[in-house]
Amino acid sequence: MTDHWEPARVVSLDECVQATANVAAMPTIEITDTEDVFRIEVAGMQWDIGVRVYEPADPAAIAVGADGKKIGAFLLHGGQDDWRQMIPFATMLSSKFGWRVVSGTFPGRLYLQDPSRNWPGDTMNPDGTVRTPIWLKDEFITPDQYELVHDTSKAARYGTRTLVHAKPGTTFWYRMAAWPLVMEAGFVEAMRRHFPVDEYSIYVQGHSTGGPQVCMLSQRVPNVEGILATENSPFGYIAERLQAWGGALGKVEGYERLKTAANHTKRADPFYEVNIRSWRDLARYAGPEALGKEGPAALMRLPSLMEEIFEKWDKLLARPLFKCEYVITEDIQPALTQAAQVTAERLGLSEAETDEMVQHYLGLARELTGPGVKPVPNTLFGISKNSRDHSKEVYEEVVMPAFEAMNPAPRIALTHFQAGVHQLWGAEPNLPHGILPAVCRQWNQAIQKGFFLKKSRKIRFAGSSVGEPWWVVGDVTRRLLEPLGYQVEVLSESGSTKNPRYVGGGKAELGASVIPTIRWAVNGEHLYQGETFAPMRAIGRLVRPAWLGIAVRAELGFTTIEEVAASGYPLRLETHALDTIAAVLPMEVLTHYHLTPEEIEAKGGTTRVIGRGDYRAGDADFIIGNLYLGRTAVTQNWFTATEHQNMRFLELGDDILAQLTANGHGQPGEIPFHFLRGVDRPIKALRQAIDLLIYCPADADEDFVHTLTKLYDTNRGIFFNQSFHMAWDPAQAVHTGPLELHPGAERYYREVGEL
Amino acid sequence: MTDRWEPARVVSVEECVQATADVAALPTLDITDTEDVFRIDAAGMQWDIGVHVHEPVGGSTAVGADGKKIGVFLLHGGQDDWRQMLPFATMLSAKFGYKVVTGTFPGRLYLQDPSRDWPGDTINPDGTVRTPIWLTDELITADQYDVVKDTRLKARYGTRTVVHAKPGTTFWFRMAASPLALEAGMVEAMGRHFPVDEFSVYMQGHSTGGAMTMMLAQRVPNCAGLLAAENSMFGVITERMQMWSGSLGKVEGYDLFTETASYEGRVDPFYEVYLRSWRDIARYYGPEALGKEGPAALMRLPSLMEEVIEGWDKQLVRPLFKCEYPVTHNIVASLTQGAQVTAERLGLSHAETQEMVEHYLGFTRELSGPGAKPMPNTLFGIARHSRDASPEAFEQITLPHFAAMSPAPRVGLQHFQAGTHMLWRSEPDLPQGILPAVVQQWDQAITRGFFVREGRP
Repeated sequence: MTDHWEPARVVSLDECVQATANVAAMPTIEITDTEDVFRIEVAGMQWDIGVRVYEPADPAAIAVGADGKKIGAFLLHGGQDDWRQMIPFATMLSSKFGWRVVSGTFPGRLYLQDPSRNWPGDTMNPDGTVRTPIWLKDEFITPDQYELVHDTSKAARYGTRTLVHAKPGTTFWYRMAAWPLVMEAGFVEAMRRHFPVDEYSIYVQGHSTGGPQVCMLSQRVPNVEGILATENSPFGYIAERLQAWGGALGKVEGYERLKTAANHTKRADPFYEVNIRSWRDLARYAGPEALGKEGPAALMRLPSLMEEIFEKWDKLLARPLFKCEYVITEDIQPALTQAAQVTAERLGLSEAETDEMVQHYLGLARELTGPGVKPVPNTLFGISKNSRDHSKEVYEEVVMPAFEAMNPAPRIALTHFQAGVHQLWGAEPNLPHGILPAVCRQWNQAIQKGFFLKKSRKIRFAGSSVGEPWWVVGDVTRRLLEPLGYQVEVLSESGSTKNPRYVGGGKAELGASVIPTIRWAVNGEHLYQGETFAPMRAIGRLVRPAWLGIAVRAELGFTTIEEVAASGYPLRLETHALDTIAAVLPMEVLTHYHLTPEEIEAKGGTTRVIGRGDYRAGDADFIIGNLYLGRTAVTQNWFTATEHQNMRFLELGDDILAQLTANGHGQPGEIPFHFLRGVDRPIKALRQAIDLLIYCPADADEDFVHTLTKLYDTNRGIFFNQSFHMAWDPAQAVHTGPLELHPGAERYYREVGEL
Repeated sequence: MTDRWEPARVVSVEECVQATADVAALPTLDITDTEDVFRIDAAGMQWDIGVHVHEPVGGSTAVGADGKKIGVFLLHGGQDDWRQMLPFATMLSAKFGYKVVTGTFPGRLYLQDPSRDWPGDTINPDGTVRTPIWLTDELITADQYDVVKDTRLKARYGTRTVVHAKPGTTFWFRMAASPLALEAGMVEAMGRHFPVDEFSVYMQGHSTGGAMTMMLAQRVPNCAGLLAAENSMFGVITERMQMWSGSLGKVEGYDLFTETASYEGRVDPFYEVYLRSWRDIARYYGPEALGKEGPAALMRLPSLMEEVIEGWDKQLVRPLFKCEYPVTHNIVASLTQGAQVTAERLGLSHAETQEMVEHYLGFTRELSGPGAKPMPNTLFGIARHSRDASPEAFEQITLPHFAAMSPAPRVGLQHFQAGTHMLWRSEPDLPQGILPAVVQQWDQAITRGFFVREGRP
């Protein structure tokens, strides 16, 4: 939880330019590029899967991350493309940073018929046929297996879409129903083949449509340790909200949103539909990106803008240029359900098995939850300046809250690059590789500096003896954090004086103690003279009533402390251990009345730690110690003593009360009538200032502390229902002197208006 | 000249909508539409000129404030033929009772077929291109030209496909002489259909046609006024307007896009024909979308492009080439060379050649001096979303130029708060664009004396 690297929230244009120079100046490692095409069987059908592997020619040159494992990256392209789209990433990551990179191609998208992998011809032919996926070498989708549809229902974003609908009962139909399972199984297998679990940590990046796929895969591949989510669409159900937020038109920096979720119609693409791409799919990015880069002036040069689009399209024709992943990327549940049912029916599954398959399909569009599930790994989001769908606003309002709501929530961060477009490797003035060098450099730093290391899920809470207030607070903390996947150990050996030494000494991540103890530790006073502690910060303050109780065995006949002090009776004194911080206050009182252990011993008396005597034998004459509401390790001695002995409670004189108040120990108060046997009237006493602080090292993770503070505040009733009397009072929780609030706690209190 | 009709400076959207209803409510006259193709001799060559005549059946032609029948001469824009002006011609004739003659630039009429539909595309896969036909059955063969791809004017046009006539070819000489044919042909057309004693002629040239009607206004004796809605100016004015905006024009609500522009003036040679493509739809469509929709138009670029492409596909039977830039943009070097080539072919003397050069240069500016017919009164009109015709450009360049003429004509400028350069295009609540409002203004101007010159009856 401590000393971790934080990604920059904003990377300026100048920093992107500098990063380009820095990456260019790095030595270039010789790398190899090999293709691995393998066949798998999924859902009763065979499928050919192809990936490319880039790695340093010298295996010893493969970089190692902060977790001590070799760095592997798994890349997936965007919606209409194949592995070639990710070559700029793959070569830079491998040849400049020494990573092993596996770059996948969606099932059906690799042109298996030719080693060049170049798709021949155009996507749409004059005879009405179109380009269709090839999931298995030599198995072609024939025109009798589909119908061509022209759709203008999404004209605002896409113009006219050309679609093909697979006919029921055809190979095309069954392949379309089953491919989601192949996307999952194929890439799990690809990573297994190239990234041995014990050797590699994998970081995944999916450009655009590839994003929901790598999010899905991140929980299904055991050694995926992070998501490099730059211009990477999130899980399908979040991507659907992202699209809805901008009414499917997105938002360009510097311009208002045109549409909102209120006028958005959710997509309803059927599972059997393939989108055949055209120049329109370049235009739907080029237009908003031109607006971002050039402003309205781009419309004044519409002819050349269109030429650029047509020219770029012509150059892309060897790529697949079709797409069918919307059912996952936009969480189209009816389509996923129907696809699962079609597959289940073909496989002859039972009703229960069919339901299971439906749930499996639906799970491809959202994070997995529940016992035994691998958590979503830490995720580093990145967005470019002129991206239409990935605006800062939609990340702050939609994407990041969705990740924060996960259980357990991964560590996340968002970096906003002040240049670049959705295809972030596209050249711009002074940025020949777009923002790609800046992005890759940041990824490398994140991996090398521990951003993706799993949060320590083991938390040590510095408490005190079992059942004592600090321990109870620790136990409450354990109960609140465990549902989030944390293992909280409440330490009992950190009571009394030791507590700040645990929290400020690296032996505990959290703790609870009383305010005076912490103050003395911070100031190096009393028993802490000469000691130093790591900086500590407060999370919140718990209020509780507490007094300094003083009682004498009634049979002795004393009615005031002064009478006790004046007598020569060999007093058997019980108080807190003299070498503990708890004894500081009693000693100040005993000193005032000339009843110090030395003075008592001089009269033949004895001093003993409270509770060590045998009250049934009546061997405690005088007790002075902390007293509060509730049956705890300390107060239980008061209960026992007063039940077994006849104790008379004595009142402090005004002079010593004033002195104690002046010294910051508390203020005059009363022990409530009938609280203990022998409290036969309100007893004038010192109301101690020993409220509890929950605290932590100053460098504790801000998000973690924010989460914990929220848990305390929103579950405040749990404190009120413990074995002793305490309360999380929002009005008091923020008053944590002598410690400042931790930034995570402060952020929470400000968010809810308590600061 | 008191108590005269003054054109409204601004015509609101509501007034355009009302004008549409008013014009629709007018009785619809029976009209005839006849084609008149005639042959002239100009610069020692024969030229076939075609015009269409629209007029009320039975000779019930409307009469203007000057007591003469109202004749209107229309010319189309740069890449088109008479068909572009049909919305004007039919409305003026059927609703207002005018006799309307609509010309087609020399070479632009498809003389080979009565449908006048140009076959095929402008640019063919075999490298040949569509070329003008100035005389029936005289076709320009591919060996007479070179095809050139030009990106010098990319900011406005994208990549232009142009053909350059080879020296010494028929193409070369026709190109050099075509300005004379346009002048002579259109003067003859008006002479044939608008007898001087019977008709006053009012001229409207859409876009490029405007520069031609301005030139003709001083060469046709009974031309009484210029109806200049979205009408380009004399070449010398257009040249300055293009410079003013870096050739990108200006859209209402936005500043000049001077950073985008890199305009250094046009240098098109006289022997150059510009083959149109979808780009020539796009260069108006983009700025007009900006005016109508704002920057948000870029968020729907795919459908915007589809509209451009569809618009182009529907136009393929039109000529879709253009070679008038030397006149419309006052390209002095080209005009001079065109005149010299023609003079040389005709064997003219040095003095006669100089006279020919002066004649060519005179196409781009008003005639002045003794004996020159004064420029007629002119009623300018501009559409709200026109890229090239902005109020600022008019106020800074055009109106001062007209005010400086001697004698200066009476001018009016009307800014319609709707419409685009193609002012007949439909818009919400305006099925015929701003055309009804424009035509209604013209009729009021003609019948209420705007074009009657001081000191004349």
